[in-house]
Amino acid sequence: MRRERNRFQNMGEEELEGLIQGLPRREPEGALRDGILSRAALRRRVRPAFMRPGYAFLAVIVLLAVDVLVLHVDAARIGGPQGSIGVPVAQATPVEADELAWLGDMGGGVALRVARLHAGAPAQEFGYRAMLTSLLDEANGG
Amino acid sequence: MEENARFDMDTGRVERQLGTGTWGQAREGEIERELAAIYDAYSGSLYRYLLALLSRAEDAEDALQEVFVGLLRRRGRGEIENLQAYLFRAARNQALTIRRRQKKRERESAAAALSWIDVEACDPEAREMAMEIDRCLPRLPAEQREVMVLRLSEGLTFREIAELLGLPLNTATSRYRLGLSKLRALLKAAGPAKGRGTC
Repeated sequence: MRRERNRFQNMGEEELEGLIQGLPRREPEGALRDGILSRAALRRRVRPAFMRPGYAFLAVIVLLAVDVLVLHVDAARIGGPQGSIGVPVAQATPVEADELAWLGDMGGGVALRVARLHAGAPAQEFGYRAMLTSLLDEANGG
Repeated sequence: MEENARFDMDTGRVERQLGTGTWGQAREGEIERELAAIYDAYSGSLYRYLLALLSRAEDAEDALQEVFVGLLRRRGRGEIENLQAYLFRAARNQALTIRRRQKKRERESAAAALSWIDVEACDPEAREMAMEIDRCLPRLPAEQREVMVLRLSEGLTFREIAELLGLPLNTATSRYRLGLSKLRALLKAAGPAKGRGTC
């Protein structure tokens, strides 16, 4: 190293410049080029149309419309068809036997309405008498 | 590619004359071809510039990758008037970002720092001197290294360096002179090459 150190010791700035300018220079790895170009190609190809701002706005509008539609359908379903006795909520709720105990004191008309509630079905010609009998039996603990 | 070539990312075309003009639509695959041409023309200079700023091959590669990803991302935002200046500014910004993360690591492993000189590719008789220069260069301040690499490695004039870095001409010249003077002092003080860190 003595010879090299002496050279540096006596080396002027211009000589040092020339020396550095003549030295080989580093280059980036070849794999880096491939990675960058393939990433560029991938980035360009996979960007779908709906990622563009205009399409995104349209997508938001469509989603909102779907939401409104769903809410409307749900609201209509909760409202339900109006039964002939006008108690749609009760129509969906089964009536327990002990709740029919008071039937024994009521007239047939009320019992019939309760029977409809219990069956959850619109008025029909057949089965009411049997249904009523069944309810009354239940109410009386039979 | 000629210097001051303009590159329109919308069409992927490189304008080789100064001034505005109309651009056609890029055909399928044209963007990749133009990007490859730009990469081949500028990657070496950018890489060495990034090495001068960051002193680590891995960091320089990361920054170089981000420069070209940013170039591609810039599509649709108008043409680039001066591609070389744009690329070097982008590289500088990436280097600054990485340097903020790098500072702590730098203190811990200064021996891993390297310059733009490819010591392994040197002739045997010049290899030891190249090794000393490669070790001493990272010890210079970054602002001096970035001017020195553009001058000594890329062969730019001081005026071109000043324009590229957005510096006054006198500042670019003085940073270079100070850097070269300090490098010479470090090399004179360097002992025999034993391993990393003799500077």
